[in-house]
Amino acid sequence: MRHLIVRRVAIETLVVGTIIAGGWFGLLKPLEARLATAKARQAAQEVKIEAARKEDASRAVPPEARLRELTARAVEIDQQSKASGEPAMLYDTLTGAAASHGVRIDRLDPKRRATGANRRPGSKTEIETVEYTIIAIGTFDAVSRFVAQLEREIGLTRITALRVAPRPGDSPQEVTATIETSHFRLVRSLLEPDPRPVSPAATTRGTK
Amino acid sequence: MLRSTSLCIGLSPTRLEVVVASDRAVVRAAAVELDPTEWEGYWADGLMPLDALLASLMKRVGARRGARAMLYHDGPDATAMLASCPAAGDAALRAARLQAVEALPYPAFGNPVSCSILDRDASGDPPRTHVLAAADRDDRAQSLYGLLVRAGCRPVLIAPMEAPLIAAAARAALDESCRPNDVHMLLGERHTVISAGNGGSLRCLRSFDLGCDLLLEALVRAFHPVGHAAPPTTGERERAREFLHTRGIPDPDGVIDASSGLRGSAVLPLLQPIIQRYVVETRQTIRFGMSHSDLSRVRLVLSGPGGRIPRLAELLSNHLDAEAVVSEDAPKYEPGACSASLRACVERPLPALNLLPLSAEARRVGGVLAVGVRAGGVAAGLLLAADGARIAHHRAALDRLMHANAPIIESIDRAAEIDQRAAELAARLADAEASLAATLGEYPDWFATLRQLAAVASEDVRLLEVTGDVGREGPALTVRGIALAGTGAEGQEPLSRYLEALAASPLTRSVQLTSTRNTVLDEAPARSFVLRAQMHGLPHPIVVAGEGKP
Repeated sequence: MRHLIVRRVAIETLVVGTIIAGGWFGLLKPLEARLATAKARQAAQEVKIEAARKEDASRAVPPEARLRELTARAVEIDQQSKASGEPAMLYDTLTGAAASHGVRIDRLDPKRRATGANRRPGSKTEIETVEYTIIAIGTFDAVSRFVAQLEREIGLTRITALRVAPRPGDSPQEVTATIETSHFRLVRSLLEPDPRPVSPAATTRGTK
Repeated sequence: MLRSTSLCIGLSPTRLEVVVASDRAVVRAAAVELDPTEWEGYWADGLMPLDALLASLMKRVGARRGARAMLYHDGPDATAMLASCPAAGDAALRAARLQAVEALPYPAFGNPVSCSILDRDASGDPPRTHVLAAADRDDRAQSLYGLLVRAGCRPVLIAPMEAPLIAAAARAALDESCRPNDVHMLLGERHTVISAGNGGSLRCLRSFDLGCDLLLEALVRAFHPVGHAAPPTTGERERAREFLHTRGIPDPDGVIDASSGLRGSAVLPLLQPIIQRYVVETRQTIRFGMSHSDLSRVRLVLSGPGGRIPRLAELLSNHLDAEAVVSEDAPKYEPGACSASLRACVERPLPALNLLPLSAEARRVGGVLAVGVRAGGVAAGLLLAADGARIAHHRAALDRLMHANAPIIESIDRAAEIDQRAAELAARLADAEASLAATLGEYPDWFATLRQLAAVASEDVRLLEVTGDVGREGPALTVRGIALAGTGAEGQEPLSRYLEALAASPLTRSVQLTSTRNTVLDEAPARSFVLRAQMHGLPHPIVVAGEGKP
């Protein structure tokens, strides 16, 4: 009898203990774990917020403004690149500029096209170059203004050589200008994301 | 221990009683007289013959089924004793148990033994603890338990009737007001307890199986017609009990029953041996228990259910040659009421002294343990629930906090993303600007240069060809022209002036005349010349625009 009672009490203890242990392991422990995770997440949030506050306090320019400035600069370079890099656009611009200044284009010879010839070591920027030889005829003043427009308003353009001589014959006021130009174009737009990851060293400036 | 509507049941060879008690007071009582000669038979049959009697008594007192029941009995093997142990607490209880076990006529193992501390006598050296011990055979206890269960009761206590008597006798002796020569004689129905004390300490206590029921039985035999085969009836027993408690020990010449002509001289021979036993037991107790045997100095104080039996004190006094008085505490006989012994059990119960059968006790303990386990389980469950609620509450608070922080975190993440994009763009820009600066290089401002050449030229200096290029030494200008010879108004040659003016230009770094040759210009002497001017190079405007920007 006593053994039966002891066994009954033991079984009840076992059952109750199992239920409690099951409740603890099945319900409370996961809850505790989730609470610990939530606590850690909340603590991480606080740390992040505090760090962001400190960073904000030490930052002179808000990130949006900085990105706007950089984007504007990239757009500016891209536009310049496009202006000097698109052959059709370049042709139209050159002839348009000549006409607007009263200069006749006698010859317009593309000399050669090269990509990556001027690429710096380690640089990811690829620049395509197109060179032209332009023979323009007009008054000295008109040719001067044409030259000015060439070097200042047609994107990434450089006048690499220039020869101005009076035009022989019956037009003593006119000169013949032989102008050698180089037109540069960025192969990839600056606003296109870099397909390769950016190395931390590349984020520093002052490499000019 | 006693609560409202609990039952107290008394069972002795001569009587079965049921009392409904409330707050230690008798509310209702019913009793039935038993034939002592059937006593052994009852036990042999597991007390089943008493089932009907008990059921009828319970019905008479209006006891409900399932009521808590305490049973006091004079079972054949039930025993109680007082053990004075020179120890305290649990040690005294263990010592008393050992003492009781040694005194038992049957093995203690497998039989219920119970001990209860009655009092502590600190005046002695060493101080003693008076422990009331009781024991019974387990099969007897099972029979009693079964009797109660079959009657629909819930047994909570089973104890020998002798135990409350011993306790009462001990308390009387331990009373501070007890006189040194007083010997308390507590006369029960089945047992008599003699005790003596001195200023709060117990000098002696002895219990023996001799009670006033023996006097009652003698009277029943006397009242029963001689030669009558049938056993004495309940009425005869009740009449004999009333006679014993109202008229007591008769005179030899006194008429007991006028109708039958029964006289005292016929009854006294039946009573005398019993009285003699009382005398002998009392004398021996006093002789061995007291420090002196001079009975003349002893005052016998009679109490208990048989204390007020008329002429008993007088007879004892005469036989013992000692003063005998009846205690004021001795209960008065009330016909139809419960016995004084059972009333004492109701009024002064001994809850710690319990001789429930071991199986029932084990069941009870098991039940208590099971209840404890369940209560513990419920408590643990509640704790788990409370802990769960606490965690949920904490989690909810954290969730609220994180929810409140979410927009801030979102803006931080957005800012970080913008930062990342800006850093990437800045890197691409820096790389592109550096590449452009290297590629575009530094060139002279050709327009300004042409303008400058035109500005410094005059009628005296005519330019024939202007060639510009960018050589190894940087941008350079080669100018071929003709200048008039001779000095002008300023006393300087036009070519010299032209060279000076060209050198003074901010566009020019240096001017060098590479060749001159005399010639004629408009029929005037002149010099054809070739000069080479090193020009300042300028970065492309797009590179200049990028400087100083983030």
